[in-house]
Amino acid sequence: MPESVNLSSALWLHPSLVLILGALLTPLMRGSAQQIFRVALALLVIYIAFTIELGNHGQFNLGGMTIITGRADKLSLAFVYVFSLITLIATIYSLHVKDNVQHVSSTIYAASAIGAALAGDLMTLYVFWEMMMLASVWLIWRRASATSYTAGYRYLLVHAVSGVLLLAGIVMYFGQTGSIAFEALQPGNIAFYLILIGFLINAAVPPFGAWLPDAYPEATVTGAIFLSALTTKTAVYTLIRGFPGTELLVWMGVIMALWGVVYAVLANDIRRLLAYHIISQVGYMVAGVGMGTAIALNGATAHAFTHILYKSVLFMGAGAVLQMTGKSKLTDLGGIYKYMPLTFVLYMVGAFSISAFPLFSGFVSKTMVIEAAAEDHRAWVWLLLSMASAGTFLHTGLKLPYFTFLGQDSGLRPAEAPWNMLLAMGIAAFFCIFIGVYPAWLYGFMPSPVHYNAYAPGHLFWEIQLLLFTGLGFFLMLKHLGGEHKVSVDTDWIYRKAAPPVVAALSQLIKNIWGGLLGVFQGFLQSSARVLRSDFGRGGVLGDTWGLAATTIWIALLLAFFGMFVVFF
Amino acid sequence: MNVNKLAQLLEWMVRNSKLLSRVMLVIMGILVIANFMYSSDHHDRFFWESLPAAGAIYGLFSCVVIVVVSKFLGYSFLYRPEDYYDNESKPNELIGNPENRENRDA
Repeated sequence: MPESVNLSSALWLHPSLVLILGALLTPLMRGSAQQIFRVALALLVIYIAFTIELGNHGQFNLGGMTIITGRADKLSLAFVYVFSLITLIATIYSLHVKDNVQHVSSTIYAASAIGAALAGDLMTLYVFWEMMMLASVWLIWRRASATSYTAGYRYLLVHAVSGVLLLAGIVMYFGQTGSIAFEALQPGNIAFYLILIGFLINAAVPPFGAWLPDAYPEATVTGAIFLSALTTKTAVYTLIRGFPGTELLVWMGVIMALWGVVYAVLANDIRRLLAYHIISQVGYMVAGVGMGTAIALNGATAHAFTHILYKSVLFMGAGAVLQMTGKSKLTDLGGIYKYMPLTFVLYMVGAFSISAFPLFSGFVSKTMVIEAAAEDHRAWVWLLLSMASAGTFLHTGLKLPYFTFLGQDSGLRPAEAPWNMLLAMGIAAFFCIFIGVYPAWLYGFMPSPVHYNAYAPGHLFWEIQLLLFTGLGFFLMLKHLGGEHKVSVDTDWIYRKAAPPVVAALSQLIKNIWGGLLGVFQGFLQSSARVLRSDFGRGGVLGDTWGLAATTIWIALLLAFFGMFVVFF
Repeated sequence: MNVNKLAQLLEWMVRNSKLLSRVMLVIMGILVIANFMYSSDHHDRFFWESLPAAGAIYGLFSCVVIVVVSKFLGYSFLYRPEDYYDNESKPNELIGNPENRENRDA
């Protein structure tokens, strides 16, 4: 890295800066001027993102640290591209919203995710990491429901822990290596694990992932789109960058993929079900990072790319249902396909994509991760990830749409979603199909050259059979698959249920000990006061005034002693 | 496409779901038979890759395992009543009038 500050490389048009400036200007406008401005801003950022040249931009020295605000290589650009695309889609989806707090925070949130992906050093990463947390929490709070306030606070606290661990890790890493460059980290020291856990919390890897299904279903309808796209995928990017080939992550990813599936079976709230499927899908990416081969890392990157797009379609569909019916539980919904046909069809495009149906985007990315497991001869990983894939179709592709749009008529008669919501879903759905039909476009963005053909006959046979027979299983067990009036506990139980009484008991204990200590101290003070009073107070030996005779005798005695002292010494 | 046309098409599909599901079963049958005649050539990695109908069997198996295991975990450990956490029983109840909030800045 060059030592001197190169002015031409220090100054560049950072897309995050453009977005943040735009975000600050947004509240100055209103009505359609504001709507046009927000879409134009998102389009401008897409243009900037797709025209970033490879190389390091915005590099300067700060107190002995080399800060790189724009490391543009294939890997970071893939994430910047999809982050900028989803910013446009989510902005269009939220055009009807008149809430400047949400507009500003969602735009700054997107800016920080892009900034984190472009960060070439750990300090810049940390700054954007924290900005992401502070901006995104407003998208939860602004729903203004009783649950969103508490869920938002929990979200904030969990991410604060992630930020602190990351910062501690960075400081130790800098102390050990004298560098803050953000490259693959060397395993075996505490800094490695601190940074890893910081990333794993944001990637929602169990047991650190309960914040996600806790907070996302409580977010605003439009804010959930930004949330579902940005935080976990930024963490996936940092894992790919910092921890490729960390064996532990393979199994964490596999467990994660199945963890999400199990909870999605139990979920009743449609946005919570989808939130658990984010965990499941991110599991594939984490497993890919753990395998660390070129095809596995390509698979993780490709899957993050497609996941952001299809998950946004799913969340937008569920959000449209919530917006138009005011309900989000499977047990309250049903039979609304006639009234929201476009939402239903667009949702299904997302559902087929996440389920990895051929010709949809998930197929060309998810199977790449599974193929990576096959090339490494990891039979269990391969089998369990395939099982999770069946589970994904079972719930996102069958259970959710069946009990929401089809199934028993709930009596709800909603209107179709507003045009801007449908347009946003349409754009994202277009990309889902486009990538599925023409994967070369996606593969062109991957960090290493892709030598993988998703449409090999073996894959096709396996995948189509797997999915269709999962569907058969669904209809055979249909009676047992509806939503239930229950919530299921996740690891957030620890800080929502177990910790409060423990903390209360601890605080009582400390209060008691402190009270006891104070009592002892008070007793000591009181007894000292008593002794002092008895000596120096009224009636005490030293405190009382003496009579003239006693005083004369004492003075005479003292003078006599002094005289003897003078004479003899 | 006209939205009403789309709604009508969907309604037609729902009305004829029996017929459509039978067509689907036939397609699935053909797929499995085709797999017997044209089996995959990837058998150097896992033995099941070249087994015909392996995907079908594994799909059905996975589906049953996922549902049974999840429901078992749910009923024995994870399920709680809806009001288990404070406020959780009314997730979509908003504070104040959302109309006023949306128009606050306008």
